[in-house]
Amino acid sequence: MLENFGYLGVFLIAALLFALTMIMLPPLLRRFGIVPKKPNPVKSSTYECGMDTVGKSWVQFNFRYYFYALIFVIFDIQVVFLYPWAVSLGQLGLFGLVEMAVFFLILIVGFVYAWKKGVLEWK
Amino acid sequence: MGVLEQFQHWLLGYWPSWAAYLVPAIVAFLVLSSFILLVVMAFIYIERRGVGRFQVRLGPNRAGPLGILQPVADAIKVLVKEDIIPSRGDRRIHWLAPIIAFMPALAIFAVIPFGPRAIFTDINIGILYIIAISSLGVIGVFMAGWASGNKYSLVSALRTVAQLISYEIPLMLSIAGVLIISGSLSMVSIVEAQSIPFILLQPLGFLIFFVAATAELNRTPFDLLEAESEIVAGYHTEYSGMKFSLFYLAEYTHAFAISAIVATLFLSGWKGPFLPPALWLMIKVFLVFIVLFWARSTLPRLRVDQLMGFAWKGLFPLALLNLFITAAEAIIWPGFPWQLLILNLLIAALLIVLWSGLFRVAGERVSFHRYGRGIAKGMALTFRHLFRRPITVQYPEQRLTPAPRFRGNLLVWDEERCNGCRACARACPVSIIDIETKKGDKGLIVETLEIDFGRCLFCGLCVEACPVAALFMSRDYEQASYFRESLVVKKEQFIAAEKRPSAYAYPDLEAEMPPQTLLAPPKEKG
Repeated sequence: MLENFGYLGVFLIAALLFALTMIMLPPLLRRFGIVPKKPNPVKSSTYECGMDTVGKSWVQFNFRYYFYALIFVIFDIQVVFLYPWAVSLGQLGLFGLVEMAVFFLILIVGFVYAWKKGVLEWK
Repeated sequence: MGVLEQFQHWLLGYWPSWAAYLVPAIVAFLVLSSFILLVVMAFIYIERRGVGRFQVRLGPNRAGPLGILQPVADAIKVLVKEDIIPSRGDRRIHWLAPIIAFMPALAIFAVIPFGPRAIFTDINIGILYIIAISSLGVIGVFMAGWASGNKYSLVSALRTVAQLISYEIPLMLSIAGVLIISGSLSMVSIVEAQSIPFILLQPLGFLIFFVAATAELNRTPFDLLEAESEIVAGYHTEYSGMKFSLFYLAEYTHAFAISAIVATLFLSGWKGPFLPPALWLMIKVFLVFIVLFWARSTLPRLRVDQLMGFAWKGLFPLALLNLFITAAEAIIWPGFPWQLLILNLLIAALLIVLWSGLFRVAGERVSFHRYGRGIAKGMALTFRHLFRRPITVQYPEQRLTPAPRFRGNLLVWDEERCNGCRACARACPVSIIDIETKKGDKGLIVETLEIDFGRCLFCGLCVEACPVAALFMSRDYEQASYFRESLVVKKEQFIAAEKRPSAYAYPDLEAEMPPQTLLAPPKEKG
């Protein structure tokens, strides 16, 4: 089985090299004069439909996303517990189901609270 | 034992162990990646043509027979295009982002089984690996949006993260249902466990997975991060050339991967009668992909609050219910008898109809009666469009006949009839008709006639003013020029021009004109 993970590592490195090769092709072709490189101030300015950019581009953003992210983290971690449970539910039986239901119930209470508090709404 | 391992064992007899280990892996990677690129090109072609037909247009058909070389032409174009890096952007991250976006999409294929033995590596946590790696692509997209130094790109980058964190949970929960039935995380074992395709045992899980996967792919109706009507092109606004095409490739490679995952998890993967396993998988993959772009050409884009509301209030509770119903079934009926198919189908229908009436998204109830029927009707409509004749025509070869009274450019001037009265010049509201006459034997002779069509309003007053029916509007509609001067038409050109008078102001002419062909193009095919 460890061998299989070795293969996976080879695949990941090869995939990275593959992407790198593709992105390095145009700079290589530029050496031969096939790909142009003629930057000018207007061309390399920020594209905002012809308007000049006002202020910084890295602006502050809606706080809403933060709450979603919080809920996401909770349930994401819970799903990590869920997968081994799902695979071996056959052996765990009814006890396993009840156990997981209780675990979920605790989190669901929090989710319902957040829902009722209006976290999932955009105002 | 897979083909790869067999190759390795054979090589071990001849080569040192590290080479015997590495070389087959690299060969397999090259074969697999070129196959993926080929399928992705086919995807791009099929989608562009298919969406064209769904929208009653022709779609790209110039490059090669039936436009089949269009992806190749696109590839060459992006390869030789200039790479533009915005001066306000972050250079290093700008370079890094496309690589990070593309690599995970490709890496998914390491564990996709194309047949019982044709799999790169059958690791025992296959599906967990897929979930882990497939959401990494979002980091690349986020980096692209950040590095561009563009507000639109930044909005897009944050939207993609918001979308991921909303749809990841239902996606993973719906897979958990499959895991309960199959009892394994390995992709090969999941396929082998499907004596009945899991789409029948898990209809609700399939629907949730499909919707969530579409959202994760950022395809319409969930393509908020490149909503062209709002934020230009989103995260790849500031990208051009090869870097842009890597994002494009990543999107379609991911689409291929998701189609393959849907086929493997729910449509019994490579299994099927008569045909070879890999072919069966590819047939299923293409079917899933067709449904993906069918939905794309039908459904309108969601708003961002609707999108997240739908994920958290609609899909997430449904996925949870589905998971626990499946778990309960697994304990009550461990063998999953066929009677469960009917029960699960009923449960799925009931849950969807009931749950859809229970919550509000953006202050509105998502009633199934309204939206479910709307979606079904829309999908049926676009499907019917597939068999209609396209409205668009192959332009220079096929032309449309305008309406008989069409007011086109270039007036038609009849030299014989013109008596040089200059009524047209006086009637012209923009004074573009320049006419000079001299006395001849019978009357006035037109010496010079110049009309500047660059300023013509096509009002038709000159034609109406003409007392001797020497001036007509024309039915031509093609006039383009690189120089303004060439739009000034002189007397000789009027005489030499092909005369195609319009029936404007001369209704008698209408009878002999060909009928207008704006919506019903001619029969011959282009």
